[in-house]
Amino acid sequence: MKTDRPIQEFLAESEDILETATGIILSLEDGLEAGRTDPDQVNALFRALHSFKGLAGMFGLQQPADLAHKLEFLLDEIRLGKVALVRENLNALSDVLGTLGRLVRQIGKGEETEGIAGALATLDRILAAKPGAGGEKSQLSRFTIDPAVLQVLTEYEEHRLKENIREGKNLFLVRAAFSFAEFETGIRSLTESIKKQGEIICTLPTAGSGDGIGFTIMVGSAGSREDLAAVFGRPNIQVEEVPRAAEEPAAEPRAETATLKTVSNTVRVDIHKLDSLMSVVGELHIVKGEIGGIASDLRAMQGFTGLAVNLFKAYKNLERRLNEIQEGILDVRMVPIGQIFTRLSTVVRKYARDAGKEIDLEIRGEETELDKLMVEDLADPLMHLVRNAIDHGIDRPDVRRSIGKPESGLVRLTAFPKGNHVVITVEDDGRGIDPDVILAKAREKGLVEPGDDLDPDRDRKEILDLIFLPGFTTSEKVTEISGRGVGMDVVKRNVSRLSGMIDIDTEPGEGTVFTLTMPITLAIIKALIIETGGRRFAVPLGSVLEILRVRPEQIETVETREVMAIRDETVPLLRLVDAFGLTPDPSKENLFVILVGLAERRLGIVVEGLQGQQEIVIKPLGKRLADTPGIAGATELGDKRIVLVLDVESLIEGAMRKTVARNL
Amino acid sequence: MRNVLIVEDSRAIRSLIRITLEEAGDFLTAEAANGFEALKMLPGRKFDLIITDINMPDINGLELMGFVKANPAYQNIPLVIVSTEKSDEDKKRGMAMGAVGYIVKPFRKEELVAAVNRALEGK
Repeated sequence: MKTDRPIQEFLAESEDILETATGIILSLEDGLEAGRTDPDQVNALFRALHSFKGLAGMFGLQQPADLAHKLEFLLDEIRLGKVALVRENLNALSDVLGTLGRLVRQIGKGEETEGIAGALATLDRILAAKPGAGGEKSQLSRFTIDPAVLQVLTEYEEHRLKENIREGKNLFLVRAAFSFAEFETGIRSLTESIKKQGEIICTLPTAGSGDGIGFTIMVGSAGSREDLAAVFGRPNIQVEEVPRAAEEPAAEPRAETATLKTVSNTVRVDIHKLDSLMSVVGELHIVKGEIGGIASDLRAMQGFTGLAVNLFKAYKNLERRLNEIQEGILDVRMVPIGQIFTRLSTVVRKYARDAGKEIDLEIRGEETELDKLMVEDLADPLMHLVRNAIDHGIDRPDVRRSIGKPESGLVRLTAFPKGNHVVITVEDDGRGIDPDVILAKAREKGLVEPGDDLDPDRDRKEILDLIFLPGFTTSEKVTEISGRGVGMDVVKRNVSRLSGMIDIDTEPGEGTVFTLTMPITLAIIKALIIETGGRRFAVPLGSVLEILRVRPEQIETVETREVMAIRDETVPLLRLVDAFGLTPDPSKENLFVILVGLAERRLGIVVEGLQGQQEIVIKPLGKRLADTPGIAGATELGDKRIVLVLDVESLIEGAMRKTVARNL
Repeated sequence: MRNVLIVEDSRAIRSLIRITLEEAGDFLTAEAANGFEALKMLPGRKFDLIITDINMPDINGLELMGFVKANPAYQNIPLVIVSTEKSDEDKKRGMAMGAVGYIVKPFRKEELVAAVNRALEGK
């Protein structure tokens, strides 16, 4: 409107929009080759041009606004089914997008803009050739649809509803309720599942009970209610079929073609074959990164035209396909954690009998999915935690009765997804662990420095964490069940090796909960590439909570440790240059704090620069470096340079140790 | 001080609406980039007005309006639609659902301020 700042925003946003639009045209081309058109993509393309037009109009840029307007009009006709989407039209759309891209670039550089008459004429030709609008009649009357739903449909959504009806699809209403804090992730994963089975026509938020929120999703699908319900795998979601209106003749009962196919469609695959496929995907990601680099260099030189566009298209195409392969492989690797839960339940009975105890095993969230290898490697640590609960946690029935507890002890295994992590808890209602006893043991075994001033109330967490130290075991006698020499330190080491985190919470007399926070997969991860002291490092994005730009004076020192106030929390800081003995670059005026966290712990990692985000495959370090604290492995970036991948958990651990050491 | 929730998926247009309102008077704005964000912001503050786009991903402006109008806690908040001239049919539907104003993009500052003031006075 008036200042330069918004025009910069216009340029940035319109470039984003045009990139998105170009990407969509590519997928539509692919789809056309395969003989299908995804209405979601046509709609997304329409929305992109719609946004672009609004944007250009607001900034008074007449030519791009006019051209986008005509293009949007055409796309609206296409998405409403009034103009067919054929290859010829797609090519024309692509050309017009190219013109828009050039206009934006010319405006950005303050050059004179080219004419748009040719592009407008192209669009007019397509519009003029459109066939007469087909009668949709009153398709809607074939179903009994809640008027409250019909009322909020946009014209486009109504068109999609009619299309679904015309194609003979069944209509369903899927109702789900979520807690207010988590509805966005909940609804997104639900819509992803639904899209496997049908088309989402609309999503209506409805008031929920208490602090919850409900959604009603209208779905068109060729499948049955059961097919649709099967894709959720969650109980709190209701699916109801929209009834067909009475005059609709009953559908012909379809011949049951599936009955002949009794043989399962499943193939068993050795996980290592998947591993090697995944590592090829990892290499391809590196190649993709290189191509991306070349594409943006070329774009910087030539602008959004000619070869640069072609290369960019090819790059986008590669990226999309690669992501599909990767998702496909990851998906194959995923298994429900219930596999080990079931295995555990069969041995729990044996342990209980051997220990003369009565145990009720309760399992929740067994459908939670994790990488197959992760599930395998978790079996031992979980087994150990369950053994511990039975052996040390839960008392004999007579003891329990005397203190007013039910004779049967409870062991509960729970799993639930949390972002790109899975949280697993092992819980018992046994006697709990007394911090006083732990502290006394640790002092006796010399695991804390002599003369420590640890206080069981104040330093409860630090004291409880002592049980994870090698050499710590509180049981007076070695039993067959818990075995000898295998302590919590081994459990912790196994969990750490899988990039997970273990926490303990306990209440004497009430019970103990161990919480394992594990990444869903280790095969390929998103990482933040950072720079400090002239070196680059990769930080797994899964553990990054927030990135803040700070000025050096925002960093405070409390008792020799650097900290920073982030909202109401005081977070300890770690300068990466100090951790790895690098020389800081004094010319950097701003620093960045990468706020990382696993389970309940937080640490701010101070670095000098950010380089962006990338998919990486973590490669193990050679033997010589394998035990370097703070380093999880290495990875290769697009430019063939090797960077080290930070081990966030051990960095947090190290920082916490320092805090304990100060207390000692 | 009037609390206004701006629901619009373009960051640039969102900030233009915010700047325009802040220059025009005593407005405190909150911005939501999509319907989900708007749903999350509603309970946090008492809004005097909601300005919403129609064509947005995930849930559209009409669906958001349906939620607002069906919820006793919010149903009295006046709604103004900001959309484009192409969406005639959608405009009709929005007005039928109880929107008190409709601004066509691109709009002039005065139009926006006038529509907002009208909506607030009619309350």
